Amino acid sequence: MNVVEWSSAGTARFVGFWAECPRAERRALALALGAGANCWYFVFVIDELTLAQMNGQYALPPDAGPAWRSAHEAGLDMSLIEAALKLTPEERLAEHQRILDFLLEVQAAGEVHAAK
Amino acid sequence: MPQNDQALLTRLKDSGLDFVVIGGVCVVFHGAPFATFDLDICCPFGEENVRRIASAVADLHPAHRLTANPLPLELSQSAFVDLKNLYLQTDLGKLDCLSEVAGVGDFQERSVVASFTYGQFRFLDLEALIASKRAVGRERDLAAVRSLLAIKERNDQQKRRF
Repeated sequence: MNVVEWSSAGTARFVGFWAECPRAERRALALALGAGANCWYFVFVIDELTLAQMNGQYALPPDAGPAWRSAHEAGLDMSLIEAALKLTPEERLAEHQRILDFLLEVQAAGEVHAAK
Repeated sequence: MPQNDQALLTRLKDSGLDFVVIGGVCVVFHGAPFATFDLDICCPFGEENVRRIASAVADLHPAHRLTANPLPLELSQSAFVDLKNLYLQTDLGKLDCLSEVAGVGDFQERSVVASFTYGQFRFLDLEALIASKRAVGRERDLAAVRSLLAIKERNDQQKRRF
């Protein structure tokens, strides 16, 4: 276990440490919060996968089928598809319209800039 | 130039045209993140339908957008025989009307109805859309196919669960 941070503030103590997560056999970041002898604790375990996601890496859902995996491997941002699938079709088209309005505005600004 | 797909769809519907939304807007409809700068629809190109299209955009300064010089949309008698597609620039954006969808036979048979707050519209169903994108085969179409196949797989998984 590698303690990476230790600090105290009043009666509360904060500790962050790297630990080997024996079950998943993955390095995990655990944060523990305690408050003295009669203490209470919160322990947040952030596993490697979550850390990777926090750094922008898309995690394939466990039930991802071959087409989903193939699209991911081809470089498509599957998180955008997941987000779109949570919307109704009408919401998708409205969102597309908003994006389109923005892109056309950017395009027009670019043309003005290029003309200068 | 603005692109207001909702307004164009509403006008086409109000004209009485029976059409199916295809292309990029249909890709968005099915859940793929995709930016498209025109509205593509498909309908039989008889005289009545072409007149309906023309009436839907009549006050929007419609012009053929792929001709060397944008020609205003004016329907002569021969147009009803010779026209297979209309690629229009209007005040509400680009509107492409096709008489057939590549890779898809009866596009009306292979469509789904969707209800919106501003009306009901038909969209090409997911499998037909995949077939059409495959048939066109441009790089961006094939990228869309990957997304659509993943979405279809996800939809099928959900159907099996329920």
